[in-house]
Amino acid sequence: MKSLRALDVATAPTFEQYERAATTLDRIVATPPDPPRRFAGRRTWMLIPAVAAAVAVVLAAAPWGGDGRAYATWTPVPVPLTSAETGLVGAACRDDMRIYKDLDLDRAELVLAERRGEYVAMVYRYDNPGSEASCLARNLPGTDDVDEVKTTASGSSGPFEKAPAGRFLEGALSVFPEGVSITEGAAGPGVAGLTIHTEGLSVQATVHNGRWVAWWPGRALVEDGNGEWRDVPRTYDVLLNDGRTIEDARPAR
Amino acid sequence: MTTLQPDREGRFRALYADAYADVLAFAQRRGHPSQAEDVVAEAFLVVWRRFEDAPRRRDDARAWVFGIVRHCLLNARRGQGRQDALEVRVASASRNEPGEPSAELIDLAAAWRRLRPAEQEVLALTVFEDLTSAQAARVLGISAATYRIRLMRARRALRGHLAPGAFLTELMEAQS
Repeated sequence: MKSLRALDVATAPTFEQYERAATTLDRIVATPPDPPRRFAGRRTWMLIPAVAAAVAVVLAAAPWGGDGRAYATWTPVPVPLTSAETGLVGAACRDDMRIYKDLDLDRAELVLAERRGEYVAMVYRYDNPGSEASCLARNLPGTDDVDEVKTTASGSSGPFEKAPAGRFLEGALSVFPEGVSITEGAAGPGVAGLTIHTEGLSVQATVHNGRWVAWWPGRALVEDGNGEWRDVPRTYDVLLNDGRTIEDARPAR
Repeated sequence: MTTLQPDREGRFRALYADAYADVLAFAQRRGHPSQAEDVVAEAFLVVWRRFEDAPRRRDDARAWVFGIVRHCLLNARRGQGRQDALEVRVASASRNEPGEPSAELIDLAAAWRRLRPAEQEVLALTVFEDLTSAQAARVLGISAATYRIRLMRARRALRGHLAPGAFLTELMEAQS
């Protein structure tokens, strides 16, 4: 391998480059952090966004991956994962989540998992204190390749609240740089399904064991030009076990 | 509003000073040399905004920054079509040895260029950035186990592009 090192094209920074680097450093530390993250709960530790999330602010990457193809396989209706897919993608997700110093991965249990085209979403959580971490990763069905892993984590001071019967609660909401949003929350007893309508999309959430998760290729939060983030309008339809649908349902809190 | 920790700026400046040269080299290998400084500046701005996520250990933090640079480079190339990996450039001859390049080095450079970008990336993280499997995996957003498998395949691919000789022996020894 040392022979390959002899072919390295990289060069040590010049004096002029170091001078420019010093100027850049001063400019960088003069800017404030402004993560586009939110958690609808009692917060005690800061929302911890994925590494990639910041790129959204910096690069203003276009929705649909810029070239319109990155999320072209996305489907509004999710499909469940096989156990092999869960193990494969889950390992990559948990590996990425190691950056979150307040997330105890030993306690985190997989509570939701779904596939939409080439992308898999997973949600881990535990109680006391309530902590959740979401993951979005690319995995072509039938292959063992996992890449484009994006994660986010958040927490609250106590246990997660449960949703009342027939209602739902909003939980964490994250926007990734590629213009992809993922959100999750609690589903009360009797809730069989949840559909999110936003920007012309109707996104059917995965609902399981009192929790729900959904993601879509669009921004749930946009900057208003004054450094503030506002919600892109979205509405919810709740499908109950008895077959009734509550259109434009409001979160229980 | 996020409240900055008192030592946040100091810790960031320390990481910047410590990793700048390596991060610039990382960008030089994978992008156009004239754009390397801009990409590094862009990446460190991301690091600053997300500094709470930075690993505490020096080498892990360096790998974490590499991953952000890679993401910036991939994002910048989206206009050229979807890319999941970055090509890693190598020189045609050693910069450290004056005179005519050896035939072996010429062959090695040619073999490298026949690798797929994904194979070049996997090898480069070990050869040039000197990362562990776990650190390299973090850069690529994959598990360490997956990285090790890809590294093995990339070495095999490079070996396949090389004629039998001293370099082949070296590669085989490095893999064993």
